[in-house]
Amino acid sequence: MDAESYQKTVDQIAPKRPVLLNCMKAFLTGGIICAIGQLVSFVFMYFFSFTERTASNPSVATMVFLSMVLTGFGIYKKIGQFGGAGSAVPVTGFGNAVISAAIEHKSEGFILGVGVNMFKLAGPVIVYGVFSAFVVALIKTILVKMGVISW
Amino acid sequence: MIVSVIIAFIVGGLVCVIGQLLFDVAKLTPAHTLSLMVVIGSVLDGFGLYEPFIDFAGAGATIPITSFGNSLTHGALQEAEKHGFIGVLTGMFEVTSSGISAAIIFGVIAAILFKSKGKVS
Amino acid sequence: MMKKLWIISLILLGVAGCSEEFKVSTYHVDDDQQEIETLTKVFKDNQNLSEAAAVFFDHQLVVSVQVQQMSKFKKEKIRKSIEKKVKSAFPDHDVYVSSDLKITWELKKIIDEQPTTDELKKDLKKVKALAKEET
Repeated sequence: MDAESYQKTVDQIAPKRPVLLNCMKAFLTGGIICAIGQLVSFVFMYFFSFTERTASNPSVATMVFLSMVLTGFGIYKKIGQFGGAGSAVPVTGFGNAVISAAIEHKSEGFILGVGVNMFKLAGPVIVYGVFSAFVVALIKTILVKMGVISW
Repeated sequence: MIVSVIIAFIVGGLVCVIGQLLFDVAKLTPAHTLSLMVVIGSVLDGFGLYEPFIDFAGAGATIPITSFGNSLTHGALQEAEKHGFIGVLTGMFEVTSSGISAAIIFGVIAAILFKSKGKVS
Repeated sequence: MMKKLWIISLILLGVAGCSEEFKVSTYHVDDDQQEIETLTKVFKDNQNLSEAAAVFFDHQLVVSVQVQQMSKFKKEKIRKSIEKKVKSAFPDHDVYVSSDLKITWELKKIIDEQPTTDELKKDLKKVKALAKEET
């Protein structure tokens, strides 16, 4: 049996992913999380002196806090099973990755367990976020200095 | 105001659908998907497209992880505008810190407060 | 299929929500109707606005505009064009234009309260500082 026909057999036997259903679930879950985020930012704007622009930082922090509570009580895991990318893509999913790793490795101590493993899952996001930001900003700065584009 | 919440719901939901398609159709792992989305956010800000997107969708644009790439790039560009090339290096965390610092702080607090319930995904 | 219908109806609802009546609220310390009218005309000329508020005080003019949902992609451009027009209409005023919802709320609060000159001075300073804050 060559590789190609093997892959064919695997495709036949393996359960087909219900893409459409998954997308609907992701849409619903992600949408609800973002709608909650919008409400939270309205709260920050209404009761504190934050503008539309500045309210996004405390809103993100609040969402991570909510994610901590849900992760700690094991609820976020259930949301993740239902929502797929809908629970992973919002910042709450990033928070969940960090926080669940911290809780999981607590038994190995706070330095070697929590400290070392905290960004095990979320690390790539920070690494490639920072690196791509560096590349993009560098290219743009060079282009501006050469006079091709303006800020 | 209700309109803003609905728009945040729809746009945020659609961004998550893109993530789900990367999971299911492109068959990427979650780590690859999220890294890719951060890079997309950062590139969009390079073209100056992410800020109008935030103006339009509010939390629908700031809550998904793409906004993380946007704010990193935005900080770097803001500083680069003021200080030239050195700003590219120093400005990066100027804008964005809230997501990362919140995750670190609440992560440690969670580790103190909660006990592991077996394997956490 | 139901899902699609649901989404379409939500979008329609959103569009319907945008085309509501255009509201302008102003407060002028010296109650100069002519100046208020000039300003209102600037707002009415722009089709993309859904709400505007303005406070005149001692050669200061603080304006905030809300942009219709479907035009929000161009929010910054619209703000700039309004700023330009208001500045040319009131060359002797210190003009400040914001497109932030918070600033609209604060200005409307001022307009509702109709404060005394001293309070107004303090309030406007606060609003301006708020609007200038970045990130």
